[in-house]
Amino acid sequence: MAEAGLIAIGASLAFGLSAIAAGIAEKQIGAAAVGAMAEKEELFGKGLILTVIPETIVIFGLVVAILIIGMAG
Amino acid sequence: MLETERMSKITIAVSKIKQKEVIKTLHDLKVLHIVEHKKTEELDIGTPIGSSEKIAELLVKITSILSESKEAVSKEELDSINRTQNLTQNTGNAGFSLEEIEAKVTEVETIIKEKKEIISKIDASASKKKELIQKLDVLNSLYLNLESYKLFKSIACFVGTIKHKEGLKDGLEKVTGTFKLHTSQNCKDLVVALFVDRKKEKEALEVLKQYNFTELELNFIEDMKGLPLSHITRLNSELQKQISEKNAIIKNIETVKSKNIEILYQYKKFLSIEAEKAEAPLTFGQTKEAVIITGWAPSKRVDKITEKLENVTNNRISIEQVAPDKHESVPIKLKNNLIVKPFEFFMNLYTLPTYKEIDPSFFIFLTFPIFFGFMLGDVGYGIATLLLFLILKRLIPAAKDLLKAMMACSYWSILFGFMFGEYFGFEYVKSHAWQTIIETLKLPLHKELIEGAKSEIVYEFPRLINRMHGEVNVLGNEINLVLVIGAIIGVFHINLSILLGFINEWKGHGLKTAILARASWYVFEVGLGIIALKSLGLITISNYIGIALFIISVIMIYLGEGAQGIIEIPSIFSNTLSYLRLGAVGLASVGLAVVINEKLAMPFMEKGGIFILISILILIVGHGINIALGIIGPFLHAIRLHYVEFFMRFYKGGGKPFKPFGANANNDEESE
Repeated sequence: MAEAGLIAIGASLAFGLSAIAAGIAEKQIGAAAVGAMAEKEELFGKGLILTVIPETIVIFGLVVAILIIGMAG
Repeated sequence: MLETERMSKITIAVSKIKQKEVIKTLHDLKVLHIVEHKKTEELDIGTPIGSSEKIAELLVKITSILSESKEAVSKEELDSINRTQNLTQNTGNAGFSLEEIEAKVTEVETIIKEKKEIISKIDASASKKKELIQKLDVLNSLYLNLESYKLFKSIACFVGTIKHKEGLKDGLEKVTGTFKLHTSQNCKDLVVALFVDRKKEKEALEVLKQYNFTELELNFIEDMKGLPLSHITRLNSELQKQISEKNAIIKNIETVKSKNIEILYQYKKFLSIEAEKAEAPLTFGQTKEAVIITGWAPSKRVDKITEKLENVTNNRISIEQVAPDKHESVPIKLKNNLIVKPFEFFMNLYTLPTYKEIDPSFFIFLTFPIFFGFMLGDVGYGIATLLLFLILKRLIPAAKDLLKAMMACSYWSILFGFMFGEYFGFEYVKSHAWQTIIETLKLPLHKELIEGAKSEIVYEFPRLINRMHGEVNVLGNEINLVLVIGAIIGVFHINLSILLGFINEWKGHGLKTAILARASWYVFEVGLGIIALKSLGLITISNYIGIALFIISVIMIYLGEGAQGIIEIPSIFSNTLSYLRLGAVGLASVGLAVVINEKLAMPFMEKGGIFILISILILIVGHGINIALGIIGPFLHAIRLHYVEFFMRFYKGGGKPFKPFGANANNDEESE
């Protein structure tokens, strides 16, 4: 049971920390992208793509979390 | 459907005499996207039609009258005006003559101007009176008759305010023996009146100045007599009268305005159309006798344009199709059938395709609602959002397209809801509450025993996939089924994107580039697939084939896309995994719904009595919040999967929208 608890903590750390990291990265890109969009509306597409690039980190975090939980299985 | 509207570039040459008729016809047809003429040696820029200055002037006048009256007219009135305007527009806008408009506008303008002059006169006299009242107020506290200040020539009189009066009398006595001092405390200041021998005037003033004396000029008294108070009351009543007079005039102006506002709006509409027509020649080229109009029109409409223009000008016109310059950008008009049309919204939001590119609206129509439905996937939520979108569609006609698209999303949510067997987050019903209903209606629900601290029998809803607990074994890991489905959808979606990219490259840069830059990714996938399957021991093909294909594909990618392509290789994995969100967002939504039902509402429900009301309240608020999240989340994630993962491999965009001459007037309301 204690082991299951540790696994759960491990999985949540993998996912949570990567989400925080992505948030920090996206914060600045997003601010800049919105600024650029205010000047030139056509930049919406480019801004969106640049903003979501760091999101990959969360997805890998999610995958790792799933794998960790799978270890418990 | 996959192509944007095909366009032809045409050049119209016509004599200046017929210019007006041609402009009118083109304006009515609304099919020609005029290309602005650049001044060359042979062809000057056209000159606006004569009345354009007059039109502009009237337009400015009307706008200024209307902008002033906006506050006075309530929103409902404006709405009703807009409606009647639309009606007149639809019935073909009975034209007005410029003289008629000018007469009316000048009439309204002079009335308003006259009244405003009266108002400013009243304002001036009122402010004078107010000033007088203030001065009289100071004197009022002394209780002296006004004539007494100027009674004698040998006596000087100072009136004003001072800071304090300790020792003032002694100070004055040192200077002169003949004086009379009155002081009185006004509400904020100490008011003083000093009558002194004119010979000692200067010295007395010096003494006063030591007490921060601020003198009040007494010239204003003139021939007023008696106590100041009587004058103040008189002035105040006069002031009151003036204010009511002014209010009456203001009201008068408002009635003049609101009486004319409807016709003024109609004039404005009419004039802005006329102005557009009158200024159109600025985009034409002209010689001494003729004008030349160049523009883009949908290819299938060219014949009709030609026919109409020839009719209007008695065949004295030349219309020619010309070949566009190689790098000229063609205006883009999306062309989709009624079902796909609402999804053009997403293209307008992002960027329009260029002329040679595929219009992805159809693919968004295919997959966007499925993605949304897969994420929200709940019968109850689907129906709730469907109703919400229906109501919103009535309330906000401007967002009609988006809401139509969202309704398609709701249908898919309901469908996936049946698949997942979820109804407002409930996956089963408890036997003791529902048994009689289920058994009398003979509902085909599965009876199941949930074991735990309190074992109970429940009726499960039928389902294909259990979203919360359904798991599959992938390479020895138990992974939630919906996540795996998400990744599989991702593989298909990305491969579709590569295929579309292949077609776009082929059309844009030829077959060789298309194979190197896009088909190479398929080779890459096949190579990688062989390596992966071999290492799992599922196939017996030699590993070298896989490795060879892998290396070949990397070289092809490098040749096709350069170093950037190599950098992008890992992104194909992260992009595919990105589709896991299809399952993950849904799990979050289900999780929240289950918490609301079982952890928050159920405990109250079981207590009975008044607590049932509380639990119902919790259910309404909780599911309301979850539905709001359930619209925003899946919408953003679905749109992002299209804009980023899907578009990345085939779509560049950057097309300029097709804006036919004359179409603006119709869309005025929406754009405002």
